Amino acid sequence: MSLLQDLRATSLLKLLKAREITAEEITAAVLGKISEVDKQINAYITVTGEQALAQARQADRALARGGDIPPLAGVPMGIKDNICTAGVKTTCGSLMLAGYTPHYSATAVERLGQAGAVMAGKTNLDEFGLGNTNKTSYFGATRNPLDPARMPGGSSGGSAAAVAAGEASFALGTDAGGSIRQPASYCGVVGLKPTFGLVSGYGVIDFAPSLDTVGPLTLDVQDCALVLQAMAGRDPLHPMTEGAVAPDYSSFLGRDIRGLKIGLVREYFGPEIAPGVKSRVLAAAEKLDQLGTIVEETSLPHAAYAAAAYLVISTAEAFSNLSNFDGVRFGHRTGGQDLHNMYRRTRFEAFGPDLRQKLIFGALVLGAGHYEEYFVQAQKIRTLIKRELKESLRRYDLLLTPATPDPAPALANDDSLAMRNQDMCLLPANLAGLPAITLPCGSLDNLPVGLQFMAAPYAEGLLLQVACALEQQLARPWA
Amino acid sequence: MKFTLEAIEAASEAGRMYLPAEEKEAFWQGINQLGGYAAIIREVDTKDVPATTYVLPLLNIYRNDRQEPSLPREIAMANAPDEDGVYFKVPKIIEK
Repeated sequence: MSLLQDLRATSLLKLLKAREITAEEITAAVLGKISEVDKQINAYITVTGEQALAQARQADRALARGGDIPPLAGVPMGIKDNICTAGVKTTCGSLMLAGYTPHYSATAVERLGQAGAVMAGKTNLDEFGLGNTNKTSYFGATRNPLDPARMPGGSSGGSAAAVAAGEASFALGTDAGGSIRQPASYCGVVGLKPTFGLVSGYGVIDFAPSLDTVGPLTLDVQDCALVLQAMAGRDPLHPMTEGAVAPDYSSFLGRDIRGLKIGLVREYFGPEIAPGVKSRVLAAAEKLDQLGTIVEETSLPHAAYAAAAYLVISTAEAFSNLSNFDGVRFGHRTGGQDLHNMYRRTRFEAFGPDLRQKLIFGALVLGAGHYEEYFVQAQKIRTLIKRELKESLRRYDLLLTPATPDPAPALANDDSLAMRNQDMCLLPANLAGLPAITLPCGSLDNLPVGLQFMAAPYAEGLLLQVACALEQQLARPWA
Repeated sequence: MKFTLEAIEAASEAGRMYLPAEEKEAFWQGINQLGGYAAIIREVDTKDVPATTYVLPLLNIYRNDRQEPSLPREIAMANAPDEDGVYFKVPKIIEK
């Protein structure tokens, strides 16, 4: 059969319910696409072809029985390879876990499975999620399917690339500091970072537990609502979800957005933002104005400190969180004559140099000489940013920023400082635990440009409502 | 302030990571670049500002006090680099 042209979950579900295609045919088409393009794109670390076809046949049986059809029956997905999948290797993009096979699945994966989604494989990422280029994976860099000479972003770069390349209908990513939204923006797809605690993190090998969230990367906003619905809600296995409330997200789509107040964050329209990006985001703001929302400038005075505070907090948490990878109970081991040398050699050999540098930096900012000056100071700045966002979101329903200062940089770009700044607009949402969505709003040199909306905790419905209304007004020349 | 090479070596040891001689210069530069980037936070007046560790309060969720099956030993051992079916094996810890 010819490859499917429209892999949106909502489109596939219509075809499946009308018996115009089977889940097995969809899965075979996606696996065919992976075989065709993934040697170049490298979006997947592991492809689970046989398992996917078996899950698809199960979905076909459910569809044939009729009655209540699971909401994502037969829809193929990619799962970021730092999210545990029972019986399927979960590597974190690292030699450390290159041979690690968990015996259980993350709650998010379990729930998507119950919703009928079919796992095509595990997607590539920066090693342990600490990065935003996808170039630090032990399994090689992922390329941007829209221009293979460019990076897909990271750390959920494999997930973004898989969705953009037609190698999955949607994918799961994790976002501790823009890791869903930045690659989604570079690859021209929709990325949602949910409120901290809305989606269970149980079974996620996260590096920064106070910042990390699981979320979807999808082809459009409607799909985003469907996938979020399947995952969100309280999980007794993850204490942070205790307050999670998940309304019917699809019911927000198509609602009138007139009268909603949107704050344009002044600090994110400065000289760091490429003029072409700025103009496209402002053009989208103009469209929102035409749709009847009230768009006004607002300010987050401490926004300039978010990236530095994030760097300190995230590396400190990573230093602590990754200390259990020592080659004893699981993972890679390099031999040593005594236990201490085994630890040192294992962690030297199995962690890449970029990760080791960040872990050492994390140790330094936690050390007695620098703890107050760096780590505690960063946590205090976190408080200031959280307060400012809370105050802004009292006055505005949503906040609007560019997603990234530039479109996808060249793969050969090694300017780590410039790359660190690519997440500048995205980090406040992580520091404050807020939900945020990015979606494409235009193109620059044939590459997608993205914008971001942030909202108050658990206001994902509102985010999806406005993003959907705007999406319908925007062409997608890069798609 | 710059992180000295000695501080970097000590932090690498604290993280139980061997730091070979040929990497020391590059790590010293890379880590100090990170430090330079992060140093901007020191200019903010945070007197009387409390630190945020988590955006949500940490809660205990209690399950019912009911016995549940343990993880079977072969599953617990399945990913071990070295084991003897009962214990995880590591290099000798205690000298004779």
